[in-house]
Amino acid sequence: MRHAIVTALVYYNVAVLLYFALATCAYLTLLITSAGEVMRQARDARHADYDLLLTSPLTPAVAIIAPAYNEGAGIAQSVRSLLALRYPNHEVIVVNDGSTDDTLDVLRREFALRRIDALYHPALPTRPVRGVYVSALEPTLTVVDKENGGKADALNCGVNVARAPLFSSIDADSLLEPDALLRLVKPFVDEPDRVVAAGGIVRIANDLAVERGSVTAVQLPRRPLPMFQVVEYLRAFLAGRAGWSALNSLLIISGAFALFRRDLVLAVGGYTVGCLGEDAELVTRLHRHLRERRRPYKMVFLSDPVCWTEAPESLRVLRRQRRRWHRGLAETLSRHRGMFLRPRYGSVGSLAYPYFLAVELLAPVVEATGYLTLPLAWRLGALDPRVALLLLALAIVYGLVLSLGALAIEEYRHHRYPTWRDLLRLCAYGVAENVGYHQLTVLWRLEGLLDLLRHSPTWGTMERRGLGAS
Amino acid sequence: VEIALIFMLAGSLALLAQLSVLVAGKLRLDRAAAFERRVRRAAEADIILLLADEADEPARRRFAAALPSDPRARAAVAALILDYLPRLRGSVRDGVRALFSEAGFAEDYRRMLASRRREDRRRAAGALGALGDVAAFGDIARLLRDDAPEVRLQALAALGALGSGDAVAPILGAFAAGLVPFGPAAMSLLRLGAPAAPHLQHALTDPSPRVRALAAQLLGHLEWLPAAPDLSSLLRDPAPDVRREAARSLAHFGLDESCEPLALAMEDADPRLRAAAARALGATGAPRAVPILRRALADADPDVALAAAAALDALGRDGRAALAAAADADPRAGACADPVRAAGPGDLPLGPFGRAAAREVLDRATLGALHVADPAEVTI
Repeated sequence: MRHAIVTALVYYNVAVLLYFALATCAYLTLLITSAGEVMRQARDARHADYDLLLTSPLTPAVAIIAPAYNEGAGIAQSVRSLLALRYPNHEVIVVNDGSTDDTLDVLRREFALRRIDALYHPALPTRPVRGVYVSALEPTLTVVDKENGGKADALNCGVNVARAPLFSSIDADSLLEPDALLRLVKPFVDEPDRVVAAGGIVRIANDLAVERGSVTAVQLPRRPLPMFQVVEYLRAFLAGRAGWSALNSLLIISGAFALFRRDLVLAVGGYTVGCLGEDAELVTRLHRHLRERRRPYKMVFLSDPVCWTEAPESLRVLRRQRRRWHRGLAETLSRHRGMFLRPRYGSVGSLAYPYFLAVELLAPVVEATGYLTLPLAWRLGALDPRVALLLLALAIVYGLVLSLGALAIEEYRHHRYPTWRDLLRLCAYGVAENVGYHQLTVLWRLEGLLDLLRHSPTWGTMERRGLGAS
Repeated sequence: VEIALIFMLAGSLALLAQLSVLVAGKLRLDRAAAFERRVRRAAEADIILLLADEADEPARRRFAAALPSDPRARAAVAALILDYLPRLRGSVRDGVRALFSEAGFAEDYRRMLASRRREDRRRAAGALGALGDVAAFGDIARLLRDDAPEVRLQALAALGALGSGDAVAPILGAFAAGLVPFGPAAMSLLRLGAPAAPHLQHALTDPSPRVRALAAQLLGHLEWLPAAPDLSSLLRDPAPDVRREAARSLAHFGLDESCEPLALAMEDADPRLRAAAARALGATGAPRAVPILRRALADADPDVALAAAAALDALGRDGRAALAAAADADPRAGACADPVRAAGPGDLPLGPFGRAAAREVLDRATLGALHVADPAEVTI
């Protein structure tokens, strides 16, 4: 019996090593592709004339849809910042998703809202709309008050109300840089018949200096938990999504700041209500729809339009967020499992889907079982401490390669954190995350998978200090 | 263990390499930024003095003679001058252009147009376009057929900045051949302004529907009245995109004589064309457009109904009266899914959206809060 277990452990270890080697190769390839893509974008941006875009009648109108649920504390500031964006032709649609706080009252008071009789055509079915309001002060602001139905339902409602050919989904608590929308719309202007979706980079806003809805000074968060997330976000966007964008295989465009063609989103049925990763699910469905119809298209990630967002500062909230994200990813991949390794879906089915399944979704399972077999192997005398330490060191070294790669891209391209102190702090957190923080995220992602299997109900809200608050 | 050690070694080397790249990169960036700041600070004062003197010739010569010989420093000064150009007008702008030529920068860039490095060709096209160097027109136009897409795009932008109507043919040629995408081609042609209009009008008969649609759209933005009859004819074009762009363009002119062809377009199967035609009818200001738009309120497409309501509002007193009557019609009429007889003027049907569209437009108009994007103005 003992011999059989030891043999199984040996085979398991070999399988894990192979998995590790493959995953590392995938990460490194993605890092190199991302670096090339970000540099290409940097060259393009250097030659781009955004002032021309600002004055041209060819720049398409954009509806910014901000779903709000109990955002009374910061909604006025967020809406002001959205209205003040440097863009020639945009409207802001706030969808109050049955808030139980004073979100609607704050909006009514701050923007002198008046209820109107509106033509509400539910091209995408949603929970009932209780009223449509427009502002007597801001002609481009519309507020829709509806019964609570979740974020996807609120976004669908916003898509129904929007009239512009493009719409941008924004988290009501996030902050866009003044020219972020202008930069994100450029691919649509360049290739209006090909580009169907675009996403910008999301950066951590904790401890940022904010005045009247605008970032006045960029600085790194003071607390450790958001600092870990800064490194994670840089890695995810600059060493991940940029690479997938180069391969036209983006499966995730962050819902915190995305731009879509409205007609296509209507054609595919909008956001899926009840799916936790509604943004990734919509993007995957768009891929599927367009590839099945053999239509040429592009979905792009741009690394310079910036959306600042507040990251969780407590383990409890972060845990909820990570469980939700991982469950959302699992739901998306499960719904579109028909794309897996099917040639008709091109690089999405043959590269992106297998990567997200094997490397992103199953990684916590592989890693957790690795941790669990350690005591067993120790007990059976099948553990060589030198090998175990070597493998641990290996994992840390390659994790660092990715983190430093992302930091190098950030430093060359964006240079947002200009001082040596910032760079040292980022490097230090890139090292430190491997001990403790990373293992916690593995655990939370596993919990997300278990939630899905148990069909657990969804959970609460994000606790916020508010942007610019210290 | 051996495999793991090899991996470890490779990983550590990669890590070391990255650390060196990161540190060296940061040092280089910091030094480069400091260098550029220094050069710019030194040259900026001289340029401001030159501008204050309206850049007279002796002053320009002195400036050119005092320029640094180091290529990096020269490039930084050239970039500084190019930064100033878009903000300058009249004789001051001409003076700065002359300064650019006398300092030898224009010649440097013209040589770079034939460089083997694509980034050089791109940079040169951008600089010469910003400078308005008409002498480089032919070389820049040739870059529309460059192997590198980014060079072609920069050449497009440069041709737009040069402002010559002669650029229309090569731009449309490159567009028809699929060498340049729609957006930048349209931006560039629009930037050419009125000199481009006669060439674009000629392009309305191009065999390619993409070219016809592009030309139709731009003639509206340029408000080129002589093209109005041709655009009216294009409302019967076999390509839906062309018909739609023609209707949108006619909205820019607001001509009474467009009413008949637009009324016919209101019968088209494409709801986006019907919405565009409704908007164009609103722009005519013609009382005879009222009954056509009143009927369009009953359209089965909500965007068309809304566009018709907005157009009625734009038509003035008669249109608003029709709109008010529709808004006050029997609520059951508006709620009904099928076109029904409403208690409106002339007992016309209001359809599923007519009443709601009328009420929304009236409410929004009262508050001055019309939709940013009119359904008829959708350009994608």
